[in-house]
Amino acid sequence: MSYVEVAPLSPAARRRRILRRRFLRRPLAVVGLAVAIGFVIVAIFAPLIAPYDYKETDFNALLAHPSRDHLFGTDALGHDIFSQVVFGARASMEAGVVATLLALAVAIPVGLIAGYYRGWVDPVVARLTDALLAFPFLILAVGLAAILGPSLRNAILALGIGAVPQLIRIARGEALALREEDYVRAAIANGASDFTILRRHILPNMMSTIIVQATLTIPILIIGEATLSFLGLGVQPPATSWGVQLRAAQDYLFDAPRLAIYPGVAIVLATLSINLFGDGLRDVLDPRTQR
Amino acid sequence: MTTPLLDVSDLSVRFDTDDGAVHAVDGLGYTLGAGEVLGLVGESGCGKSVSALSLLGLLPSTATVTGEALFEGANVLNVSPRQLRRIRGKEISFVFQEPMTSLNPVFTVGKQISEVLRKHLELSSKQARKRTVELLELVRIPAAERRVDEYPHQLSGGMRQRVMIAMAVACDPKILIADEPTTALDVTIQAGILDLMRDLRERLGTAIILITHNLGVVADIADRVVVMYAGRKAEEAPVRELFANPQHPYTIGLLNAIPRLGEEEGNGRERLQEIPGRVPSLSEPLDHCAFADRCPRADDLTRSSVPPLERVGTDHLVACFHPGGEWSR
Amino acid sequence: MVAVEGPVLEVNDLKKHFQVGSSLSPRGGTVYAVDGVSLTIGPGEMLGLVGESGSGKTTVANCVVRLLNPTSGTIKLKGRDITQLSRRRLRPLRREMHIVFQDPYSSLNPRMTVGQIVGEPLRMHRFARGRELDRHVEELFDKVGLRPELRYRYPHELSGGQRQRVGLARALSVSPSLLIADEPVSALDVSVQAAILNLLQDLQRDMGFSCLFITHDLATVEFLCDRVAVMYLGKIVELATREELFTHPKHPYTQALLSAAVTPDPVVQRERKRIVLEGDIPSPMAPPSGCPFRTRCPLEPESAPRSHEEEPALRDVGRGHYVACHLVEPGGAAPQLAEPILGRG
Repeated sequence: MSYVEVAPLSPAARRRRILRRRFLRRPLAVVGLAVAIGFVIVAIFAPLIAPYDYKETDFNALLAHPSRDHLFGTDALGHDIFSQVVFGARASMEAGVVATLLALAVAIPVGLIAGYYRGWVDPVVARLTDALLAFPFLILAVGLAAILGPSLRNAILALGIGAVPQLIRIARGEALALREEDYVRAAIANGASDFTILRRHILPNMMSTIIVQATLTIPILIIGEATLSFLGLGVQPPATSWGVQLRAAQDYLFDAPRLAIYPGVAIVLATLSINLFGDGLRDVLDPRTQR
Repeated sequence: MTTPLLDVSDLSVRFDTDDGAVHAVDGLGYTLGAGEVLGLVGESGCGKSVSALSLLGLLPSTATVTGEALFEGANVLNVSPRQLRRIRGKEISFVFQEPMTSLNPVFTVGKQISEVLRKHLELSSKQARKRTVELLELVRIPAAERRVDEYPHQLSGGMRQRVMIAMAVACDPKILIADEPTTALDVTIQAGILDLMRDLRERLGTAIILITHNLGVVADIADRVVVMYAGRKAEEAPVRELFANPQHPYTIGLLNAIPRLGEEEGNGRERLQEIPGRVPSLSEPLDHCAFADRCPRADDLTRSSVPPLERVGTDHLVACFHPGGEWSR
Repeated sequence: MVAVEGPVLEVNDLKKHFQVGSSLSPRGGTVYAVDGVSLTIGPGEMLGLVGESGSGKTTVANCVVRLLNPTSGTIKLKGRDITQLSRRRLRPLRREMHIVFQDPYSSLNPRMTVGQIVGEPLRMHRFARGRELDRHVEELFDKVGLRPELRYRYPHELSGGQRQRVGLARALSVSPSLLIADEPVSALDVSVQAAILNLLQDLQRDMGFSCLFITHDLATVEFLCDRVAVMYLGKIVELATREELFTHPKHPYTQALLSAAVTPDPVVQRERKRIVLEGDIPSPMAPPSGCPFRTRCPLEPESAPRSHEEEPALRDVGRGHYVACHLVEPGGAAPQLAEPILGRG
């Protein structure tokens, strides 16, 4: 029996190397990732980065302009704006990430089952998803706030629920396509149970798409949290988030627009960077793109 | 000796990809006479399609093409984009492998052919339509008058390929390049397409470069054959000569690897010839014989230098240090 | 080799019809993919199933492996009727039949190592675990001509030929009685095809499994198979031993198929007068009445009007040779469309 020769190849690390190279060829995505990581670091190490605690007030500097003591100036109550923005990152990033994870926890199993089994499950899921879509997350948030009281936790809940339908759709689409792959049919012909097939064949192969989608959902939910907090339905003072800061800035829009600009720019940068990273990631992982 | 219609020399194509460079074609040369059918044969990755696509500038931007391809006095690899557009479809045309995806699904078949006619021959729409129907009849599509207004999805695979061929010969090109034109088709349909191509060659005098991995197709229709391996020419000969008297071990291996109808006498079924090993990686241009690590005739010489093309008969060229008619020496 | 009584596979009047379109779309229809196929495969026998697109050969394979549920008819595996069995009841029996797919690129899970892929049936049917499983996998790799070290690689790191070997190893891992090979070499290069065909031949001799080999290439069938069935538009039009089919093809479609096949010999190829069939293969959604082949059959003027009204039955004409054609006489005499094929006979 003749052996088949194989040219020397390095193991799966080679694929990572290729992906890394492709990623590095996209400067926007790289910058996006860097900035996003920057925000994460800021959120985690907020107490170390911010010169002041966000609750701390400086009576001598109310609505002060940026100075050496106060990098971004202060607000009407003497809070250091820079520290506020830094601490605000926490709530906003937390909301974005946790809400996304919550949504995934629901959407992946539901989408998998709908896409894989089809039958009667699929139309039912489709209608439920449509029903959920009919509720803008704002209404959901108002409702939840009314019932449970406004808080960051409830805002995250509302945001998560709002993100579920789109993620279900993606998961369902992937499952639908993957179940037609030959290796899945081979496993079925083998006698594998559905659970095994979902776990070993379908789920692992949809992860790239899911990851990309999650990466693109987080910025949406960050803005969502900001919106809710701005309307008073999310984070409640004295706790702070960028949305809360925007709310407080409303009264001083003409006198001290910086109260709104700094948190606003933070939101823009945070969401933009994650978006750019997500876009680049999608290109990199798509087997059809050349470079 | 008449000037050949197409004279390719030292054609090389290099792709710059994620994994580094791929030297898909390395110093390929051949000539094509008027009205001649040249078979370009090889397995996947040998560079046959790439070399043909390079003639019409149809390669992606990651490709670098060097060398010469003289057509009517000009090097088509170097002409301006405007000149290239004038040549494509009119002087040299291309038929792709997949008739399913090469036709635009949202336009009728007639419209797509007319488009080619009106662009290159500047016909009015009425003239174009008339000629389109003639073309469909030329490629033996029944009920051509009706079919002109049908959409690609209404036609079968074989019909679509005929439409592609009609488009390709619409402006009476001097050269028709057909890239695996029958690979995606059923056997009985393939027979019809091959007959059609032969018929067109006789009637229109078009020269054809036929790219395929199927040696049976080549045996059927080609006048001359070029066998490619790992981006280089391994052997070239008139068709009968190549099959009767192959000299390159790769050609011999290929011919012996194919199960043939009618040769299984009795109940002793012979094994098919296997060519051990795999095609070498093309990330670097090889400085030795590309076939060396799979070749039974390999020795120090073949492993250290590139075999030059040698003449082993009238019009028969081999790139091998040890040409011979048997698999081993 | 254990002596097994009776055929390994018995397919009786198998039909598979697909409904196209839904309640919402007005244009529905039925695709008669398989329309009355019967065949048997004995122990250790290789049956070639030949046909072009629309012949239904792949659908037959999918029905046999129960990836599709037959519309009607029966399928018996080693005497047991598996046509209607539920998935749970079917599972232990699935050990006995395995399938190899055409596409070496999509038939292997890209996220599993090839060693894991080959070991999956063993694990599933509880043949072995842990180190013993690994040993089995190593042996299987050796058997299909792959170096055992390769079992830690991922599919995309192997060539097409290697992947097909992995597919074969997976299919044969639990020593099934029946292997279904659905165009296993069509997507491979010529030189690689040879290796896989040789391998299949060797494995079959060693392990003694029966095989349903599906292909469109007649030369491959002649090389590998003991018996051959030719399909057209969902029906078997001719069934015979290899010897019989290639020396005395009786059905006009078989003759046309043999005639259309190209052979790598320019002298022979250009001397043959080829039968070229007119027209296209009819759609399986609208098969012709009576004989399905009549729209393209060169002998249709002689067979009409019977061929328009009556479907020819697959009849035994002696020497294990079955033909479905009105113009073939009970004794086996059949009209010749072309001279004997390629030097035989």
